[in-house]
Amino acid sequence: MDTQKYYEFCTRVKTISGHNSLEEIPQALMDLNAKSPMIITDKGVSAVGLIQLVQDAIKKSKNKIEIKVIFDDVPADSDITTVNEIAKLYKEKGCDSIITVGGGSPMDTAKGVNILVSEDADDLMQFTGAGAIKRRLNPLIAIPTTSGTGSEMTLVAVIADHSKNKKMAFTSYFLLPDVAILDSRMTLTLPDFLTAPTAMDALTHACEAYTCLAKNPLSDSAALFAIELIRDNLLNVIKKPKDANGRLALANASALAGIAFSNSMVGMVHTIGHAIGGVCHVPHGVAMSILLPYGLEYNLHKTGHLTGELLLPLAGSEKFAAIPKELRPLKSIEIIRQLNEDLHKATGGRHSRFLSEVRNREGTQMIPKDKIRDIALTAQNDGSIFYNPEELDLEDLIMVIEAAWEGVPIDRKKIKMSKETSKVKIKI
Amino acid sequence: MRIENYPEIIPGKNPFKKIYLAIFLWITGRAIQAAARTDRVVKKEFEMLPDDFMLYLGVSPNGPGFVVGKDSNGKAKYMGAKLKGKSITLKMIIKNIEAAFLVFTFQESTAVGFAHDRFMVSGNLDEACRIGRVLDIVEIYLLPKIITKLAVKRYPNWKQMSPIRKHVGRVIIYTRAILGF
Amino acid sequence: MKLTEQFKFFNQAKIISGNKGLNNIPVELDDYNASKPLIITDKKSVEKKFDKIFIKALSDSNLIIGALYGSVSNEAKIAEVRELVDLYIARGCDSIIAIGSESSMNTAKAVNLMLCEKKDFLEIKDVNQNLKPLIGILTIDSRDTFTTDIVTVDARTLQSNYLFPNVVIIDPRMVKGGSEESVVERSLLALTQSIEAGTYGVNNPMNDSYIYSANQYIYENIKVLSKNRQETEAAVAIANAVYMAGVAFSNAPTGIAYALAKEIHKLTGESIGKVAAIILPHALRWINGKKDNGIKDKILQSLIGIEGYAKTPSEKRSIMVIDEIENLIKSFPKSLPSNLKDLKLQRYILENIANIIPDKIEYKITAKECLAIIDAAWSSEKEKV
Ligand SMILES: [Fe+2]
Repeated sequence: MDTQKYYEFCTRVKTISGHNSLEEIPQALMDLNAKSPMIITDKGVSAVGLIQLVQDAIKKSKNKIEIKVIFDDVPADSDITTVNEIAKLYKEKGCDSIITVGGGSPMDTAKGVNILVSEDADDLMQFTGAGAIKRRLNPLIAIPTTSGTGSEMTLVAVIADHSKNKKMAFTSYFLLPDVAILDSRMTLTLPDFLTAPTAMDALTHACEAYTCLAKNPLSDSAALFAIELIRDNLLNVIKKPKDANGRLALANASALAGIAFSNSMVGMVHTIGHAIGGVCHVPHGVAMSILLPYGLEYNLHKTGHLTGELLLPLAGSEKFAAIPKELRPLKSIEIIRQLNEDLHKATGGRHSRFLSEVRNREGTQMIPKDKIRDIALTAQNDGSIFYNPEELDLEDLIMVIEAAWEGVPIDRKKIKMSKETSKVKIKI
Repeated sequence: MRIENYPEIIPGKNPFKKIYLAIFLWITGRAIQAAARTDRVVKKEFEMLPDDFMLYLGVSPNGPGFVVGKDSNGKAKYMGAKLKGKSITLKMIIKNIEAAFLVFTFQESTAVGFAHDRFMVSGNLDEACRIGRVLDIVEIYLLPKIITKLAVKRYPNWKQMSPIRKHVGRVIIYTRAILGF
Repeated sequence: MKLTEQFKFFNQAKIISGNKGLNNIPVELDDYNASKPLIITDKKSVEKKFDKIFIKALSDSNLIIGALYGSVSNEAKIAEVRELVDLYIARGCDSIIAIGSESSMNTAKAVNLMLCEKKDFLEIKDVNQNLKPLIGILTIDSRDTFTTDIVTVDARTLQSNYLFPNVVIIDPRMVKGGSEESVVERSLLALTQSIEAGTYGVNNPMNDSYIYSANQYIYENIKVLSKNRQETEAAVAIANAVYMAGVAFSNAPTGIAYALAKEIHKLTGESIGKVAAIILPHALRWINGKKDNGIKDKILQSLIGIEGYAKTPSEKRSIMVIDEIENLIKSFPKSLPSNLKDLKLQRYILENIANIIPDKIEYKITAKECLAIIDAAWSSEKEKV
């Protein structure tokens, strides 16, 4: 393992994982000196009965915990008005803590609410930027219901201001939830076409954390474990959705990948993925599945040796040992492409393999070819571009997106390579 | 225990590094203004920034640093070394003098500096990315290739930046950076 | 990998590791709105001028050091803790920084507890609140519980999530030097903590990521650093391992080699690191015979690397772990004998210890089994376990 010359790493989230870990919520709240939580979630989560599970777990306990109010109307594109509304409700009902249940949107929203209610402020915008939050916030418990974003482990909240057409990022260690509850029951009902891309998002977090510039030893280990858990469980879960052990494993993979990328950042897969989300409203995980092999491919001359090491968790030790070092980087990429193929098959074609294949519910193509330039322009201004091993200018971005659109590998001759730093020679 | 035996201690100062950084940042600030008027790409990046854009790039906690913003004509303008009384839209602060010294003596490239968590960025991330690219280009103009190669990820080849553009541009930016017109 | 049983994981301590790490202290304290720390360190650190390096690293900041106390001895003492509480209050401090040995950290934690719980340390039973910001600066004297959630003062021990330091800093300026013996002791103690943390409990991938990184760092760097204590990269790596092992140790049941070594250390004063290292392979051989808790084969990967691991057939991996550790221990004949007999310990003391261990650890073991492990470690014979 390389000794990183300098790194910072922080995972100040207490994690409780198991098939019955919801039952730990009351004690966790007591430990945080809280007894009047508010639940923040979205309609999708409450409709499938997951909030009921949380309520039951709290009712069962002898601790005097009372859920003061449930807000289950967080929209998919939550913004500052929702945050303000919920904060008002929190204060009116005399809450002292938040339990947020859901995917990325309820979690980001809850983090925003927690800033307002803890700082007793009206204007969220005064807390943007590093170091703006200067005190511990009120207790926050996060319960993920998709295994992908890893938001339960991250210190970021992205909150939009639709009126100004802006997205603001809030970063502070105080935004890390106090407790993350990983319970297999919370993802059991997630349909396959959502399980697949969200897990691929987690896989992307792990692979990018391991190969990008801000890698560090603890992120590396977390990433390797995450990949192994996904390898052992993703396809099984797609085939047997009620496999509780598999679900729990994926929830852990997502959290581990969250730990990894929150401390080492992500690279160009997210750079382009965010842009595709912004321009064409493609779900994040869908873009990640498709782009992951392209990101690894583009950076091969810089970090091929690291991509090669990913083969161990991706393929298992026997296959890894059987493949010579110089072939491993490409093999890793091939396995990820194959995984996308397998998921495509297992979901009856609902898991997309390339950008031109992505369709919305009505069946219309979501990424028309003429949007590629717009996507590339937007991508240029995504913060994750800083952490990618190789530079990407507009021309490079367009070249990569075009390849991913067609579903063909990158033409390596077209990559403007800076000095090679990969420790294995890549055999093409 | 006698409390007087354990006095308060006020840590010292390191004037040499601070002066180096002050000069380096002064030149860089000026050079951004100059480059925004000379270099096509930088000019374009600046055009894309909002009208109220104002950058502070400096060292925590007490500087040095510089402010570059847009003037009333929408042109890039060096606005001095002090934060006070300016409404900054993008703050890029290096965590301490030693870290700044590592980055601005190119022992750590800007990219590695980011990877090493040396910077605290607040404000619009869009703007930070544009400024990141502007800084890369400014460094290419200001510094000899051998040093700039340490600072940026990929040094442009002639296809991307013609030698004429670079050398003529460099002279203009140098003079403008120092003379400040 | 299967995850079937419930587990918990927590680590409050952010780590900052590397070049100029110390210079980040002002920014880190500022995160908590703090700017006037009380510095607690020990005689060993002051001898090595770590206090001077530390003050210099705070140049050009707005920090004021409330006071610097540099007289902590090898054990934290309650009288000293009480006096430091007064000093903290008298100077209007808002945070604490501990530099160097475990005793400095224990003193700092106890001061912090007294300040927040507003009670004498001896009266505090449990902790239920966030404490004042506490930064730990890891040096060549930091080991064992330095980065854990445990505090011990005058033989009284408390454990709580709130007792982790908030930030741990590893700076090359503080982790170089010392003797070969000290490198071996502290690295192998960390290795014992880390390997045992990955062996006695349920599958916990969060903790495992600390465990595997710790093992890997120790294995790759201990030989280099024991030969050349000025080797920066190796020194930083071993310091990292001490931090990671401390976190892993806090999140797992205590292992048998560690528990035995701790007791032996308490009664005889012998180095806990040496004793733990000598016992470790024998304790592992014992647990590897158990049905449920074999040695996880991935431990081997963290020791010998991806290539070697991948080439070893899976049924041989657990045994390889023990062999590897045994070989490692034999590589430092000047600093570490291969059995307890050569440490010149009294045999009857060891027998007494075997009797008390079963009550001290969660994992089920009988006094007889403990004694068998000690016996094996006594003469370094494999057959006894
Ligand atoms: Fe993602």
